[in-house]
Amino acid sequence: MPFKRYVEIGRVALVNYGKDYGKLVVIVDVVDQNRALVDAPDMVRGQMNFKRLTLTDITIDIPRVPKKKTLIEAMEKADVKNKWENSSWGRKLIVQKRRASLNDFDRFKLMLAKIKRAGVVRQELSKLKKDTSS
Amino acid sequence: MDTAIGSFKLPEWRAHTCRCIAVPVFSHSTCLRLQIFEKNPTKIKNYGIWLRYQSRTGYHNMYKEYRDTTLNGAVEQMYTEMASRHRVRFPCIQIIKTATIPAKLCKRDNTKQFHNSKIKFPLVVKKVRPPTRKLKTTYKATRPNLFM
Repeated sequence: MPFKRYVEIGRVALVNYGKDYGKLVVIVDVVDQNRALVDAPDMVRGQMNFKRLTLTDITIDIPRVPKKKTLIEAMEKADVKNKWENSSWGRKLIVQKRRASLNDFDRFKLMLAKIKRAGVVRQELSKLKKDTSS
Repeated sequence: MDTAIGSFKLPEWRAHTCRCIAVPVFSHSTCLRLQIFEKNPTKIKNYGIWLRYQSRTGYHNMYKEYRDTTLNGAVEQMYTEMASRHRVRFPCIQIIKTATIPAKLCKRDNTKQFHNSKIKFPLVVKKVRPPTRKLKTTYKATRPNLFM
Protein backbone atom coordinates (compact mmCIF):
# COMPACT_ATOMS: atom_id res chain seq x y z
CA MET A 1 0.00 0.00 0.00
CA PRO A 2 1.55 3.32 -1.00
CA PHE A 3 1.58 6.14 1.47
CA LYS A 4 -0.99 8.88 1.16
CA ARG A 5 -0.08 11.23 4.00
CA TYR A 6 3.36 12.75 3.86
CA VAL A 7 5.31 14.92 6.23
CA GLU A 8 5.62 18.10 4.20
CA ILE A 9 5.52 21.80 4.78
CA GLY A 10 1.89 22.71 5.19
CA ARG A 11 0.67 19.31 6.39
CA VAL A 12 -1.89 19.64 9.16
CA ALA A 13 -1.39 17.20 12.00
CA LEU A 14 -3.18 16.32 15.18
CA VAL A 15 -1.20 16.25 18.40
CA ASN A 16 -1.80 12.90 20.09
CA TYR A 17 0.32 13.17 23.23
CA GLY A 18 1.51 15.74 25.66
CA LYS A 19 0.59 19.21 26.69
CA ASP A 20 -0.99 20.20 23.36
CA TYR A 21 -3.06 17.03 23.06
CA GLY A 22 -5.96 17.34 20.63
CA LYS A 23 -4.68 20.45 18.86
CA LEU A 24 -4.44 20.81 15.12
CA VAL A 25 -0.99 22.06 14.18
CA VAL A 26 0.72 22.78 10.90
CA ILE A 27 4.13 21.35 10.03
CA VAL A 28 6.10 24.39 9.12
CA ASP A 29 9.59 22.91 8.73
CA VAL A 30 11.44 19.69 9.38
CA VAL A 31 14.24 19.74 11.95
CA ASP A 32 15.51 16.26 11.33
CA GLN A 33 14.34 12.70 10.93
CA ASN A 34 12.35 12.70 14.14
CA ARG A 35 11.22 16.25 14.73
CA ALA A 36 9.26 18.93 12.98
CA LEU A 37 8.91 22.60 13.57
CA VAL A 38 5.25 22.99 14.25
CA ASP A 39 2.96 26.01 14.46
CA ALA A 40 -0.66 26.79 15.23
CA PRO A 41 -2.53 30.10 15.49
CA ASP A 42 -2.72 29.87 19.28
CA MET A 43 0.68 28.51 20.22
CA VAL A 44 4.31 29.56 20.12
CA ARG A 45 6.09 27.92 17.22
CA GLY A 46 8.09 24.98 18.56
CA GLN A 47 9.52 21.64 17.69
CA MET A 48 7.64 18.43 18.16
CA ASN A 49 8.57 14.81 17.73
CA PHE A 50 6.72 12.98 14.95
CA LYS A 51 5.72 10.41 17.53
CA ARG A 52 3.45 13.03 19.01
CA LEU A 53 1.80 13.87 15.71
CA THR A 54 -0.81 12.08 13.67
CA LEU A 55 -0.90 13.35 10.10
CA THR A 56 -4.26 14.32 8.65
CA ASP A 57 -5.37 14.56 5.05
CA ILE A 58 -5.40 18.34 5.10
CA THR A 59 -2.53 20.38 3.69
CA ILE A 60 -2.25 24.11 3.30
CA ASP A 61 -0.15 26.14 0.92
CA ILE A 62 2.56 27.95 2.84
CA PRO A 63 6.18 28.85 2.21
CA ARG A 64 8.79 27.29 4.48
CA VAL A 65 8.51 28.79 7.99
CA PRO A 66 5.91 31.47 7.32
CA LYS A 67 5.18 34.43 9.52
CA LYS A 68 2.31 33.91 11.94
CA LYS A 69 0.09 36.26 9.94
CA THR A 70 0.78 34.38 6.69
CA LEU A 71 0.07 31.10 8.42
CA ILE A 72 -3.27 32.29 9.76
CA GLU A 73 -4.28 33.66 6.34
CA ALA A 74 -3.31 30.41 4.65
CA MET A 75 -5.31 28.43 7.18
CA GLU A 76 -8.34 30.61 6.56
CA LYS A 77 -7.95 30.24 2.82
CA ALA A 78 -7.71 26.48 3.00
CA ASP A 79 -10.61 26.48 5.49
CA VAL A 80 -8.83 24.05 7.75
CA LYS A 81 -11.27 24.38 10.62
CA ASN A 82 -14.37 23.58 8.58
CA LYS A 83 -12.67 20.82 6.59
CA TRP A 84 -11.62 19.22 9.85
CA GLU A 85 -14.96 19.54 11.57
CA ASN A 86 -16.78 18.10 8.56
CA SER A 87 -14.41 15.21 8.08
CA SER A 88 -15.48 11.92 9.66
CA TRP A 89 -12.40 11.91 11.91
CA GLY A 90 -13.06 15.44 13.11
CA ARG A 91 -16.75 14.75 13.68
CA LYS A 92 -15.92 11.67 15.75
CA LEU A 93 -13.63 13.70 17.99
CA ILE A 94 -16.30 16.35 18.49
CA VAL A 95 -18.83 13.69 19.43
CA GLN A 96 -16.35 12.11 21.84
CA LYS A 97 -15.80 15.45 23.51
CA ARG A 98 -19.53 16.05 23.75
CA ARG A 99 -20.16 12.61 25.23
CA ALA A 100 -17.40 13.13 27.80
CA SER A 101 -18.98 16.35 29.01
CA LEU A 102 -22.54 15.04 29.49
CA ASN A 103 -24.19 15.31 32.86
CA ASP A 104 -26.52 12.69 34.30
CA PHE A 105 -29.69 14.27 32.87
CA ASP A 106 -28.06 14.41 29.41
CA ARG A 107 -27.16 10.75 29.68
CA PHE A 108 -30.77 9.98 30.61
CA LYS A 109 -31.99 11.88 27.55
CA LEU A 110 -29.42 10.02 25.46
CA MET A 111 -30.70 6.70 26.78
CA LEU A 112 -34.29 7.60 25.84
CA ALA A 113 -33.19 8.73 22.37
CA LYS A 114 -31.31 5.46 21.84
CA ILE A 115 -34.35 3.42 22.91
CA LYS A 116 -36.57 5.42 20.57
CA ARG A 117 -34.19 4.92 17.64
CA ALA A 118 -33.89 1.21 18.36
CA GLY A 119 -37.69 0.96 18.42
CA VAL A 120 -38.03 2.61 15.02
CA VAL A 121 -35.34 0.37 13.54
CA ARG A 122 -37.00 -2.73 14.96
CA GLN A 123 -40.37 -1.73 13.51
CA GLU A 124 -38.86 -1.30 10.05
CA LEU A 125 -37.05 -4.64 10.41
CA SER A 126 -40.24 -6.44 11.37
CA LYS A 127 -42.02 -4.88 8.40
CA LEU A 128 -39.28 -6.13 6.06
CA LYS A 129 -39.42 -9.58 7.66
CA LYS A 130 -43.17 -9.73 7.12
CA ASP A 131 -42.75 -8.72 3.47
CA THR A 132 -40.19 -11.41 2.77
CA SER A 133 -42.05 -14.13 4.64
CA SER A 134 -45.41 -13.32 3.06
CA MET B 1 19.63 20.95 35.88
CA ASP B 2 17.03 22.97 37.76
CA THR B 3 15.46 26.14 36.51
CA ALA B 4 16.59 28.34 39.38
CA ILE B 5 19.80 30.30 39.60
CA GLY B 6 20.28 30.96 43.27
CA SER B 7 17.00 32.38 44.47
CA PHE B 8 15.88 33.59 41.04
CA LYS B 9 13.15 31.35 39.63
CA LEU B 10 12.68 31.18 35.89
CA PRO B 11 9.24 31.03 34.31
CA GLU B 12 8.53 27.63 32.85
CA TRP B 13 8.73 28.57 29.18
CA ARG B 14 12.21 29.89 29.75
CA ALA B 15 13.26 26.57 31.17
CA HIS B 16 12.50 24.95 27.87
CA THR B 17 14.84 27.25 25.99
CA CYS B 18 17.80 27.48 28.30
CA ARG B 19 20.05 25.10 30.05
CA CYS B 20 22.67 25.49 32.73
CA ILE B 21 26.24 24.98 31.73
CA ALA B 22 28.96 24.59 34.29
CA VAL B 23 31.96 26.82 33.73
CA PRO B 24 34.91 26.38 36.07
CA VAL B 25 35.93 29.79 37.33
CA PHE B 26 39.17 28.68 38.98
CA SER B 27 40.53 25.18 38.67
CA HIS B 28 39.70 24.07 42.22
CA SER B 29 36.66 26.21 42.97
CA THR B 30 32.98 25.44 42.59
CA CYS B 31 31.59 25.97 39.14
CA LEU B 32 29.87 29.12 38.00
CA ARG B 33 26.62 28.13 36.35
CA LEU B 34 25.56 30.16 33.38
CA GLN B 35 22.35 29.96 31.45
CA ILE B 36 22.54 30.10 27.68
CA PHE B 37 19.43 31.72 26.27
CA GLU B 38 18.75 31.03 22.65
CA LYS B 39 18.27 34.19 20.63
CA ASN B 40 15.96 32.58 18.10
CA PRO B 41 14.46 29.34 19.43
CA THR B 42 11.90 29.10 16.65
CA LYS B 43 14.47 28.98 13.86
CA ILE B 44 16.10 25.72 12.83
CA LYS B 45 19.86 25.96 12.61
CA ASN B 46 22.70 23.67 11.66
CA TYR B 47 25.15 23.45 14.52
CA GLY B 48 28.73 22.39 14.01
CA ILE B 49 30.44 21.19 17.15
CA TRP B 50 34.17 20.68 17.37
CA LEU B 51 35.10 18.48 20.26
CA ARG B 52 38.00 16.67 21.84
CA TYR B 53 37.27 13.47 23.66
CA GLN B 54 39.12 10.84 25.54
CA SER B 55 38.63 7.29 24.42
CA ARG B 56 40.05 4.18 26.04
CA THR B 57 43.18 4.52 23.95
CA GLY B 58 43.82 8.26 23.69
CA TYR B 59 42.50 11.66 22.78
CA HIS B 60 40.77 12.41 19.52
CA ASN B 61 39.28 15.43 17.81
CA MET B 62 35.95 15.37 16.14
CA TYR B 63 33.64 17.58 14.18
CA LYS B 64 29.93 16.80 14.36
CA GLU B 65 26.88 18.46 12.88
CA TYR B 66 23.41 18.64 14.31
CA ARG B 67 20.18 20.23 13.24
CA ASP B 68 18.29 21.82 16.10
CA THR B 69 16.52 24.97 17.16
CA THR B 70 18.75 25.77 20.11
CA LEU B 71 22.43 25.41 20.92
CA ASN B 72 21.55 23.63 24.13
CA GLY B 73 19.54 21.09 22.20
CA ALA B 74 22.37 20.48 19.76
CA VAL B 75 24.90 20.02 22.54
CA GLU B 76 22.55 17.63 24.31
CA GLN B 77 22.26 15.66 21.08
CA MET B 78 26.02 15.61 20.83
CA TYR B 79 26.52 14.24 24.32
CA THR B 80 23.93 11.52 23.87
CA GLU B 81 25.33 10.57 20.47
CA MET B 82 28.90 10.39 21.77
CA ALA B 83 27.73 8.23 24.63
CA SER B 84 25.87 5.86 22.35
CA ARG B 85 28.28 5.71 19.41
CA HIS B 86 31.62 5.90 21.19
CA ARG B 87 30.78 5.13 24.81
CA VAL B 88 32.28 8.45 25.80
CA ARG B 89 30.76 9.97 28.88
CA PHE B 90 30.26 13.58 29.84
CA PRO B 91 33.49 14.20 31.76
CA CYS B 92 35.63 12.91 28.90
CA ILE B 93 34.29 15.36 26.32
CA GLN B 94 35.65 18.83 25.86
CA ILE B 95 33.82 21.15 23.51
CA ILE B 96 36.35 23.18 21.60
CA LYS B 97 33.97 25.27 19.57
CA THR B 98 30.35 25.45 18.52
CA ALA B 99 29.05 27.42 15.60
CA THR B 100 25.93 27.91 13.54
CA ILE B 101 26.78 26.71 10.06
CA PRO B 102 25.02 28.07 7.01
CA ALA B 103 23.49 25.36 4.86
CA LYS B 104 26.03 25.69 2.06
CA LEU B 105 28.95 24.90 4.35
CA CYS B 106 27.55 21.82 6.03
CA LYS B 107 29.71 18.80 5.57
CA ARG B 108 27.60 15.89 6.70
CA ASP B 109 25.11 14.29 4.34
CA ASN B 110 22.89 13.54 7.28
CA THR B 111 22.22 17.24 7.85
CA LYS B 112 22.38 18.16 4.17
CA GLN B 113 19.48 15.86 3.34
CA PHE B 114 17.14 18.18 5.26
CA HIS B 115 18.21 21.25 3.29
CA ASN B 116 15.32 20.85 0.93
CA SER B 117 12.61 23.47 0.75
CA LYS B 118 10.18 20.93 -0.68
CA ILE B 119 10.97 18.18 1.76
CA LYS B 120 8.44 15.41 1.76
CA PHE B 121 8.53 11.95 3.27
CA PRO B 122 6.00 9.54 4.71
CA LEU B 123 5.95 8.36 8.27
CA VAL B 124 6.31 4.65 7.97
CA VAL B 125 5.17 3.30 11.30
CA LYS B 126 2.55 4.74 13.60
CA LYS B 127 3.40 4.69 17.28
CA VAL B 128 0.24 3.61 19.07
CA ARG B 129 0.19 4.83 22.61
CA PRO B 130 -2.38 6.16 25.08
CA PRO B 131 -2.52 9.96 25.29
CA THR B 132 -1.46 10.03 28.91
CA ARG B 133 0.72 7.74 31.02
CA LYS B 134 -2.26 7.22 33.29
CA LEU B 135 -4.18 5.31 30.62
CA LYS B 136 -1.31 2.89 30.08
CA THR B 137 -2.18 -0.79 30.70
CA THR B 138 -0.08 -3.92 30.45
CA TYR B 139 -2.56 -5.83 28.33
CA LYS B 140 -4.72 -4.63 25.47
CA ALA B 141 -7.80 -6.25 23.98
CA THR B 142 -6.66 -5.90 20.36
CA ARG B 143 -3.43 -5.76 18.41
CA PRO B 144 -2.45 -2.27 17.35
CA ASN B 145 -2.86 -0.98 13.81
CA LEU B 146 0.58 0.33 12.87
CA PHE B 147 -0.30 1.70 9.44
CA MET B 148 -0.20 5.49 9.40
